[in-house]
Amino acid sequence: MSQSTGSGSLIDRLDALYEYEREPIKEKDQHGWKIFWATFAGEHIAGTEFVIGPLFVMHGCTARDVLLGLFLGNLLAVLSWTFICAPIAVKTRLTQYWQLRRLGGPWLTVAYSCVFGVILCVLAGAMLRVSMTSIAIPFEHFFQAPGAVVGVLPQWMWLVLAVVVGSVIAMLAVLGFEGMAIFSKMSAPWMVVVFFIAAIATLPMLGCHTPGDFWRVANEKIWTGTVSPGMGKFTIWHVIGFSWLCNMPQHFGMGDMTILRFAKKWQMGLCSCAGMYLGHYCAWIASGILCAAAMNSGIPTDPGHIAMLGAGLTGAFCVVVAGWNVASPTLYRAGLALQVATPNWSRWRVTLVVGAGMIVCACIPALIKHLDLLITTNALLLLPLGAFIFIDLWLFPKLGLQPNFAEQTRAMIGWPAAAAWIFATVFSVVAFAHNNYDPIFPIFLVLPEWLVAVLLYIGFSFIQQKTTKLTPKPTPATK
Amino acid sequence: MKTLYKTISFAGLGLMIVASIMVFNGQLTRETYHVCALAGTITWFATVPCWMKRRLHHSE
Repeated sequence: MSQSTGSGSLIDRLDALYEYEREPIKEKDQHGWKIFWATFAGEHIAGTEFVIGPLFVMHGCTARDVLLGLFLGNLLAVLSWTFICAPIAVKTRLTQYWQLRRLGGPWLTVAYSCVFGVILCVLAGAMLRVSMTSIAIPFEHFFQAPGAVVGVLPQWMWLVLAVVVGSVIAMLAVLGFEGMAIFSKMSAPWMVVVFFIAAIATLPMLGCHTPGDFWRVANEKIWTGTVSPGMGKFTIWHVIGFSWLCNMPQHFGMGDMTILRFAKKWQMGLCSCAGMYLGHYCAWIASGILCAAAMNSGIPTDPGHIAMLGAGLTGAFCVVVAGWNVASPTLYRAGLALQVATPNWSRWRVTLVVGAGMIVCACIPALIKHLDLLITTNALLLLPLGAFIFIDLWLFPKLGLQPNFAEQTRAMIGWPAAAAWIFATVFSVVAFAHNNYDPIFPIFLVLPEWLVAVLLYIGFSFIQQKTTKLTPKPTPATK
Repeated sequence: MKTLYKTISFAGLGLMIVASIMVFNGQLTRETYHVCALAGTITWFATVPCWMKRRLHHSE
């Protein structure tokens, strides 16, 4: 298939960005269990845990919904990593990017990179907003009304904070990404401890003085089942669904092929339980406790205030660290993904432009108030692509279809994957609209969308492969 | 020497945990607990670069 010079250079640039991960991982570079326990444990404790835990309190969950729902949802996530993502990562030893290129052609990876870049930019904005809630605390005294517990910052002040803090994060992403990543690794065990101690020390404020009091306090003071104004009611199914889909782009979406391709065995996907049960179970429960204590004390429930309540200056510092640790690499990756769409811009220039987008996003308070919806949208957008990789590798040979068809035909875009991705996303949008844009409904769209994406992809691939004459040529994926 | 730094680092985290448990049991005031948490934090960040590997796992 012919291609214009412009599109050729665009794809060449994208390929060049991922050049170093083009070769399958060699045996000598594969790692054992220890490194995966540490990687997963460190990766899933971030500033957003201070937001998500309180959301379960405000969505009117009961203690049983949270404790059991999170256990089951996280179990589903661990199983998805172990039985969906890890076997494919170990089989191909490639990143999701290169696997997508094989089945959908280079233009699909261009589209994927752009969508992924925008999503990361918005997520970095959410992380920045989390950090800002802590940095804003010293300034509240200047805006405190007489008799008020805390001052309320005007919108212009949030704007100033977003510009100042966001610029620092953007500069760190440009100049010191490696340093930030190392600092992030070093602070991970400390952050786990801060979540734990903040929750333990806050429980007496809710009337819990012995372990035996916990269940009563959990039901009466923490997860009371009362929905906060402007929030939808969560049942146990919402909790299970949300905790499962929270990392959907990583497991079902195959994003963690990047990490798990280094694993000696697919069973190492089980190490994800360290991240899930420390970060998405214990830390969410801990931040829920902090949120309930803040509500009882009439303190705002934003991450900065609840962490300050739980562990004083250490808590406030933890929010800043937790936000920055993730915002900076997220911004770096967003810049990397969007570099393809810019006309030969250098990495630092793209990252700074993406940083400006992050600052704009951070000025939107609704971003962290409805973080659950943002995460769900993110999962729904990227889910079909992971489904295609899974089906292409495991099901196509059994159905008599040719895997990696775009690579075999040297097509610039595999239309079955592109069309199935678009239609599956449209299906979710229509279903969301049909439910009057209920912000908690998309949690239940994950499985239907996955099924729609899979069925369409199989159907379209069947049509394509029956109508396209394949000239066999052994083109190794990695060349 | 590395073992010593490691011990001090984890002692810092231990101080934070013990202080929070003492608050839970009513044996320590919240103010003192906040000071202990801060001391543990400073100890951790002052000593952890001396023993934790500065190499990243993956070339992402």
